[in-house]
Parts: sequence; C-alpha cells; structure tokens
Amino acid sequence: MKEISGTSNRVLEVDLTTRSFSVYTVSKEERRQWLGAKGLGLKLVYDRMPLNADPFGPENIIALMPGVLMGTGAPCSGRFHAVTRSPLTGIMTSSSCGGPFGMQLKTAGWDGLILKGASPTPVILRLDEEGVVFEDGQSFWGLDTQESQKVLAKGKEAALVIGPAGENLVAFANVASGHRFLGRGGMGAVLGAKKVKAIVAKGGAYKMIPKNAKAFERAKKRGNAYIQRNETSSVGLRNYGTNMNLNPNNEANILPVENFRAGRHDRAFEMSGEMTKDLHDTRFHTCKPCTILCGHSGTYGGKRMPVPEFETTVLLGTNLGIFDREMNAEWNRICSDLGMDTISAGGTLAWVMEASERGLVDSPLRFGSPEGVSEALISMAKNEGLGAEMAKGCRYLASRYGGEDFAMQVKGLEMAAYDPRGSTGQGLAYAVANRGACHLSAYLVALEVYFGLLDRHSTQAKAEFVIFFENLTCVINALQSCQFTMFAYTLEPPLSKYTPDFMLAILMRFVPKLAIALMDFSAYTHLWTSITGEKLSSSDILKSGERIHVLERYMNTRMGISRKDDTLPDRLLKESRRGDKKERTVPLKKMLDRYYALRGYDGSGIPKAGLLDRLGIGIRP
Amino acid sequence: MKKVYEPLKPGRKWFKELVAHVVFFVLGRAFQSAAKLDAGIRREVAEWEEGFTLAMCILPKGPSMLLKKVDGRIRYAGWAKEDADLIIRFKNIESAFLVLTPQMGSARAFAENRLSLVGDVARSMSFVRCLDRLLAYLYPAFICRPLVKRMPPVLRPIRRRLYIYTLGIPFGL
Amino acid sequence: MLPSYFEFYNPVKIVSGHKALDNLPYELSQMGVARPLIVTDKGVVGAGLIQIVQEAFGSSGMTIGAIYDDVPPDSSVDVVNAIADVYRANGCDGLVAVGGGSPIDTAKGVNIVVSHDKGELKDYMGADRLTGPLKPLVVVPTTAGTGSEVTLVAVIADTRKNVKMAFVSRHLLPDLALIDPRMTLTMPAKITAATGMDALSHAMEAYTCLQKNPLSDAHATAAISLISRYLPLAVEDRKNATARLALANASCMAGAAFSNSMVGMVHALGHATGAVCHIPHGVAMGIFLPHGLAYNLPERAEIIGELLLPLRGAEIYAATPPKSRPERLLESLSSLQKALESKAGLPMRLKDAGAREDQLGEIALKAINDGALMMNPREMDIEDAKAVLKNAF
Repeated sequence: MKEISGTSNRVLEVDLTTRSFSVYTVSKEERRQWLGAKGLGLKLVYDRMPLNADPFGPENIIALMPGVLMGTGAPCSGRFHAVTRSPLTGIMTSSSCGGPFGMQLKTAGWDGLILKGASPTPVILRLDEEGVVFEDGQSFWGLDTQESQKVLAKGKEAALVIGPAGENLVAFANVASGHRFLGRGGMGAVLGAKKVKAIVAKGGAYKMIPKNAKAFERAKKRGNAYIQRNETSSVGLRNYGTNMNLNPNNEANILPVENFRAGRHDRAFEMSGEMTKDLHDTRFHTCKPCTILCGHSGTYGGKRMPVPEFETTVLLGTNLGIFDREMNAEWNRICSDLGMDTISAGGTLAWVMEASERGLVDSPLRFGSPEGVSEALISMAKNEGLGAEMAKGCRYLASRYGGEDFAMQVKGLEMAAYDPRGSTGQGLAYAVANRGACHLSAYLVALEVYFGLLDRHSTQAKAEFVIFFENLTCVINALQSCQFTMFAYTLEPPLSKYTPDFMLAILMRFVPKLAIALMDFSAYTHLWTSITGEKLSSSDILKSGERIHVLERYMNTRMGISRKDDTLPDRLLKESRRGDKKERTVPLKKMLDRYYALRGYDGSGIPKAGLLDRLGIGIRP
Repeated sequence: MKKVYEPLKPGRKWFKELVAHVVFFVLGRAFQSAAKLDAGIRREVAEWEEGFTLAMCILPKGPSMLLKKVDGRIRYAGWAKEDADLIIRFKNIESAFLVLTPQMGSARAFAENRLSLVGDVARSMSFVRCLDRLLAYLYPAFICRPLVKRMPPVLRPIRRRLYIYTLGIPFGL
Repeated sequence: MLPSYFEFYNPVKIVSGHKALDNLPYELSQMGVARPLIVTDKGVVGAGLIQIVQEAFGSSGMTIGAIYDDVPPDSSVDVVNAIADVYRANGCDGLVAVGGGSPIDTAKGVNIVVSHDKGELKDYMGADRLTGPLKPLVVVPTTAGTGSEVTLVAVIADTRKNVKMAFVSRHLLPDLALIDPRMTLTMPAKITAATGMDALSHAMEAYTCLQKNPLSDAHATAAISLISRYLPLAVEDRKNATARLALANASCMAGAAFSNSMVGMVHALGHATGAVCHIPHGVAMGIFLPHGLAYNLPERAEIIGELLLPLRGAEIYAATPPKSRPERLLESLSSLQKALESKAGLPMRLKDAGAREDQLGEIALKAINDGALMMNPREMDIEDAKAVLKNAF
C-alpha cells in the first residue's frame, strides 16, 4: 500500500458535461488558509462557481471533501463535508456526513472531489486512485437509497447515492452513504439535477501517515482520553445517542411541540433516548472510526432499524404532536430510503398541519394524528398533489398560501429541534447561521441550557459566544472531526475542568472576551499540526475558522442575503408559549447589532471590505 | 391519700422533631439540585407529569416535606400542607428519626412496615431509585452502603456533593 | 434469620376440607349476610362448579341475591361498576367470590364500591386509602395458586386508559376462605401445573425476600413441602382429591405467607410479562422462579439453601453439604419444571410461552416499576432485568 505523508493535496475535478476529469493540486498557502474539508471546499467552489449560478443548473458546483484527519485514525474522524448552492435556500449550504464514502475517497488518494456541469442522462461515477469512469445510470434511476447502495457498491467499495427524492428535485433531498446523510439544504436535488445517481469510491490504495507520528499519537491519545472522561460524550451520547437531549429540552421548555406552539409535553419522555435504549435493544451503529459512538440501531416491531436522531425524533414526532417511537422510526426509514431530510420534511409537515387546522390549505394532516403522514412523505418525494408543493419547503408554502408567521424557517431552511424562546443565544445563532435555521452553526443551547453557563434568557455575551462557536465549528468542519468532540475537547482541558462551574459562568457572562481567550481547544490544533506538519497556533486556526465563516457569509450576501434575512419567524419574535410563566420571545435586534459590530459587518449585515482584506478573502466580480 | 387518675398528655420529642425538620429541608433542597446534576434522577423526574407532588411526612401531624414538579423541574416546596399525589408516611417519629439520620435505608424501612405509602406504587419505585442515588451524593460510601441494596453508580460524587452542600442546600440552586 | 421487627396479620377464617362448601350458608349467617351476591366467571359455570355452590344453599333458607357470571379474565373497572349495580338492585348484603384471581379481585373491587356511598373506584387506588371495614366477603378459590383468598391486594384494570390499578388495604382481606377440593377437581393438567408453580413461587419468594419473618416462614415451608409432594400427583391423576386438597391448602398458606412478607423480582417480572405479553400469571411464575432465585443467590445463598429441606425432604437436605444446597435446590426446581413441561405442557422458556424477543425491553421497564421489587433482596435495575429476561427467553 502506498503512503501519503500528511495530505495528498490532490483534488479530483470532474466535468459531468464533457465526462472528463482533471486533478487540481492544493497549494500550501491554500491549505494553511482553508485547512480542508468545508473550508477548502468552500474556497474551491468560490473560485469556480459564478455567484449567480442556478442551483439546479450546470454552473452549480458541488464539492465533496474529506478532511485532513480522515484516514489517520484520529478520534471521531470518519466524516466528510460537502459544499454547494442550495435549491431550498438559494444560498450556500454545507453538510457533514459520517458514511463510509469519505474514507474510500480519501484512501483512494483524493483530498476532494468537485463535480461541475451536468449530465443529460442518469450517470454513475466510479472512482479509484486513477480517476473516474462514467457508467450509464438509467437502470438504477428510481431505486431507493439503501437498495441502490446494495446494488452498486461491492466489497469494500462505498457509494454515495441519491434516492427518488433527489431524482425528483425535492428541495430538501439528501445524499446517503450507508445509513448516514449529507442532510441539509437539498444536496440530493443538486446531484439529481446533474443526473448523478451515485458515486462509488474504491479506496484502500493509500495509507495516511501523519507528518509527526509521535506528536500525532500524543494528540490522539489525549483526544480519546478527553472523550472518555467527558460525561456528555462517553455517557450521554454513547448510551442514548442524540436523543439524550430530549428530556433536558422538555425540562427547559425548549422542545418544539406542535409546530413550536409549546415547549413541553407530559408525554415527551416517551420519545427520549433513555426510553429508546430501554425498549428497543439499541446497539452501536456509527460512523467509522468513532470514539463517542452516538449512532444506534434498534428493534422496532421486530425489525432492526436505525434509531432516529434527536432532530428526527422531534420534527417527525413531538413537533407533530405524535409521541410514538415506532411510527417515528418508520417515518425516519421512509425519509432515509427516499433520500429526504427529516428536519425539513418534518418542519414542512408541521406547517401543513397548522395551516390545514386554520383552513389555509386543504389537507387531512392534523397534529397528534399519524394518519396520512407516511403518504404525505411519499407524495413529497414523488411530487404528487400537495406533496409537489411541500417538496419546496415551508417557506414556499407560506409565500403561496399565507401563514408566514408560523413557517418555522430562516432563509428557507426549516428550524431544528430547539425553541430559541428558552435559549436566546440559539435564537441569534439560528438567525445568522449561514445555511439557514441551523442548530450546528453555533450550538449555544449547550452553554445556555445543558451546562447553564450563560443566562438563557438574557442577551448578555451571546454575540461573543455565537461568533466564537461559529468560528470553532468551522475549524472542526474543516479538519473534519465530529462536532460532538467539542464538548470533550473544550471542557476537559485542565483549565475549564478544574475551574468551578460558577466561576466559569461568571467569567463567561461578564468578561466573555477573556473567557474566550482562555478557552483551550488546542486538541484540534495539535491534531492539525502533527498530521500536516504545518505549524498553526490556536489563534491562527481560529482565524481560519473565521475566514471560512466570513467567506460563506460573503458569498451569501452576494446572492442577496442581508439584514432582512437574519431574522426569525414571527412566532418566535412575538408569540410567547403556553408553559412559560413570563412572556418569552427572542430579543433579536439587540444581539444582532452587537453581532454585526463584532463580526465586522456593516449595519445591513454585509462583511466590510476591511474584514475581507484582513482575512485575505479576494473580492470577486 | 387517694390516688388520682387523670388524663396524661405525653410530652413532645422536641429534639427528634427538630432533626426531622432539618433533614427534610436538607433532603428537599438536595433532591432539587441533585435532579439537576444527576442524569439518573433527572431521567426519573422527566417521566413524572408536570404539577406532580410528592410528600414525605411523619404521622400524625409531624414535620413534612413537599416536592413538586414545576416548569419541568422538581422543586422543594416546603411543608406538605395539602394532599399530594404520592405520600410517603412514617408511622411514628422514632422510625422517621432512624431513616432520616440515616441509620436505616428505605428498603429496610418498608420491610419493617415503618413506612406507609399512599398513591401510585410505580411512581414510588421511581422515587426510591432517585432517593438511593441522592444518598450516594449526600453521604460518603461507608455511610451510604448499608442504606442501599447496591451502591448506585454515580459520577463525580465528591464534586457534586460539594455543590449540593455549598450551593444546593443553602441557596436552593 | 430473625428480623429485628416484623408484622403479621391474617384475620381470614379458613374452612378447609372435603365438602367444606356445605358450611357456606352457616358461615354467611354468622356474618349477618342474608342475600349474598355470587361473583364468578364463565369458566366456573362451564365446569359446573357454580352448581355445587348453589346446591350448598339448598335447605338453608337463604336467598342468593344474584349470580353474576360474566367476569372477564382481566378484571376491569366497567365490570366492577356493573356488578355493583346488580348488588344494589338486588338488595344484597354480602359477596361470595367463586373462581380464580379475576373473580376474586373483581369482588374485592365491587366491595370497595358498594361499601362507599360516594366516589369512584379510582379514588381508592393505592395503599391504605380505605379507612373503614367493607361488606362481608367470602372467597371460594377454584384455582389452587393465586392465594387471593388471603391477600390484601386487588388489581383492577382501567381498560379505557389501559392502566392497571392496584388497591392495597387490610380491609380487602376476605372474611372467610372456603377451600373445597371439589372446586379444583376439574382443572386441566396444564393449569394445575401453572397454579402449583404460582403457589410455589409465592412460598419461595416469601421465604427469601426482605420481609420474611418466622410466621411467614412457617406458612411458606409448609406450603412448599405440600406442593413438592402433591403437585406431581395432581398433574398425573387429576381426580386425586387428596392431592387437590393439599394443593389448595398449600396455595392458601403460601398466600398467607406472601401477603405478610411480600414477594420480589419473580413477581415483578411475572406481573410485567402478564401485562405485556398476556402470559398467564402461573406460567410466568413457573418460568421466572429459578431465574429469580439464581439472581438473588449472591445475597441470599444460605436462605435459598434452606429451601431444600421442604422441597426435597430431610434426607436429601441432610446429605447435601450446606455450600451446595442452593445449587441442589435450583437443580431440583429445574427437574420439577422439566417434569411439568413433559407431563402437563407447562412452558419453561418465555419464547415457548408466546413472548417475542422485542418485548423484553418493555417487560423490563414495567418490572422495575413494580412494587414487588422493593422487597427483593438484591437490587435489580433495567439492565439486570433485561439480562434475566434474556436468560429466561
């Protein structure tokens, strides 16, 4: 087996229109500036894609990028990233996936795969260390995601596939590899428009050797030790998966119930990770390699199925007023097989339920009733009846039928499973996240609710921490590790571990800048440096994170995004919930002003020239 | 001289009543903060319905404590003045003293019929599981071990004990 | 092992023997009952047993208020209310329950309703919610297993809300238990075996669990030796009236034992299995008994070893060194199980009894919330319960 020291820096650039490919070599400077995975992918797309590209057009580009950690055996490094322009939101979107495709791509010697142009007929891409061959995909068109993977990937090969939803250009169609997905923003539809049914990668040609093996072993050992020590990762996530969040969210009144009308329900615990573990004989079913082990499969009605992730549990469960684990798992399976994002599908269903309750649309769907849900999901994927309109997301539906105040989306992306009325920082994070109402851009809810370090109802220090976590998240997505390592890597280093929680809380609330400066995330820096041999300090690496975030923002603003879009649905800004004693809404304006000022954006949310200059982002015509 | 027979009014056991008051307060406040710290207790409490009340009291009208689930969290609500959904009653002050000081575990107290239960039995099982975990935080292992059937596997007992005693009990955090 | 403190309460008058039923009218009149309501189920009527009860009233000058014979296998609130209406409409003044667990629990529920002017059944749910004595209640058991004739518990389902309500009160103890072997003669072999194992599990759990005391021990050991001697006989020769009487007595004694010392995990698992998979209680008890004892072994080895004496007799007990007694006991139990499986078709494993593997989690979750677990000597959390269930599957 051949060896790659550090990174191969080879990116495979495929033109689907001409059915040809070339190899792009990543320069040392690009590597240092943009790290890899999301960062590098974004930069490559920025350099190649016209900013007015139609998401479904041949000009749109999708970059599939394993990170520098992948293949080295670093903890939780089995993930890869994808970047493209989203048909759902019309702006940039990026997504991370833990399926086996990434590892095969990387061990075939590629640090990235860029797809340009479009094929007129369905096509299958087969790639190995030599490059790509194109095969006719007509006979596979129409197969569901699991079936097509089974048919297409033999032996150690791994496939990245779209399902019927992607083929039918459902705006929130996803892309599957194994039982994991490039979930959000409709990447499946982008591939569907390019007529790419599947990409099959055969790796195993190369082995990744860190530049500094000793330092890497140390960094890896430390990372693993932090994860094993951290309660969130080694107890909560490992035992209960992401559904560990359900009970705490319910307790904190931030669990979306019936399209965010309530934040708590007495029956919610039935959907919890604890109940799931107790009742469905759960076993690990995770990305590889992984130290945390949050993914699970379980037995539902005698069949083994993936356990729905927390967002799915809520958006296809409590947020529809339905508290049935078996149904939830079944709908999760339907969405997975069809290749459809469960958050957006669920959010759209919830809007339809409320809209039909109010008589805005004619549909049999009602809160609390599982009747018609399976059929509705299938009709979305197949573009039938109202399903054809639901397939465009709840922003589109609300613009057509009215009811925008309860369309729970930002920038067109349906909101994830945290109600920001009990977590104002998360509200800011939703409003400014680059890809729309995304919970992963900055996971403030952890600081505000789970760890209680920030006051969850005030605006104090929120802008500072949203910015810090946005940048750090970009770093994690650029190295690419799993975002859940963040708990262990930031909380377990000695300083944060041995400072009493109340001291941490005081520091973070009253001197956020100092608290952020003291924040130790060197676990990531050490992994980066030891693998690539490129010396970056923690502040350099955080600056790279900032660079990535700001570039994405800049691209979005060039696509028409400005302050008017950095907002939340009226339901969150004006209505308070039952169950809250005080009126609670999200005080967005104040946080937003501060956020723009700290970010270096102007009053309408556009990155200032000075900021772009400082980060070395070249302005494009 | 003729012996006079008249009603006797037995005195009160002031000391034991006082101890019971204090321990109920400590227990209530500690339960409240342990429910925030400990995943096991948190999970049990998550399954109780909003507004659920649980009382522990000493018969007939002795000291008592009321726990109430408000806003998703279990709260110590002082004396049990009203009827509760689940009531755990000590039959006499001596039994209560034994259990509260803590010289006797809940399982043994139930076995020796020192406690009586009013309300849903399943819920009381859930509460006893919480109580066992709480004891593991409140007391060092050598005190806790004889009180429970098996030491509950709790995380960071010392750190959390410190929190419960310095912030939880005095300030109700 | 002498407990530092215990309580024992069993005010039930027991009238036991061949043709004991003939004394029913006399006993009723002693309690001041003139128009008893008989509560029973279709199975009892179908077996012709109600005929025997009716005949016992012949020439007694007493009026039977009514015979309610429609109690379903799982007693429910609706049925309790329906029977209470019959009771009131016919001016009855006492209850006679004839049957197994279901008619007896139902009659106890009816007694709560008819003895209180106001309120619904659910107002009295839980422990010690009843404060005053109830109407006279006579129990004629037709299954030698449940021991319900001497217990203070009644479990009644709220079928609409799909929950089981437990009622615990000393006032629920019947006033009289009438044990007549004629009532159990018609039991088929499999049910005989299941109810026998039920009684055996009552006795063994009463002997091993936390609330054991000298009085309950005496009842329990007496019951065990009767069962081990007569259960195989009764299964083999169903018309053996002596064996039937012995088992009925054993069941009653086992009931008195566990009513005062409570039961443990075997019952917790059994109740849960019944609720989830609708496996008959006795069958579940038969399956779980060895597993429960084995689980409790680390805490109760000596006490479990002592059970070898009543189960296998003095000779074998004396010939077995104390250390290997628990093991020997578990072996004897499993050979008893095997005998019952081959002769009566009593299942030994959960899967043979009709449980599905994916139900085990639900059973475990219900079991750890069962009150019986409180008195189990060894802690059992959900993972432990799942492990035991997997073993028994």
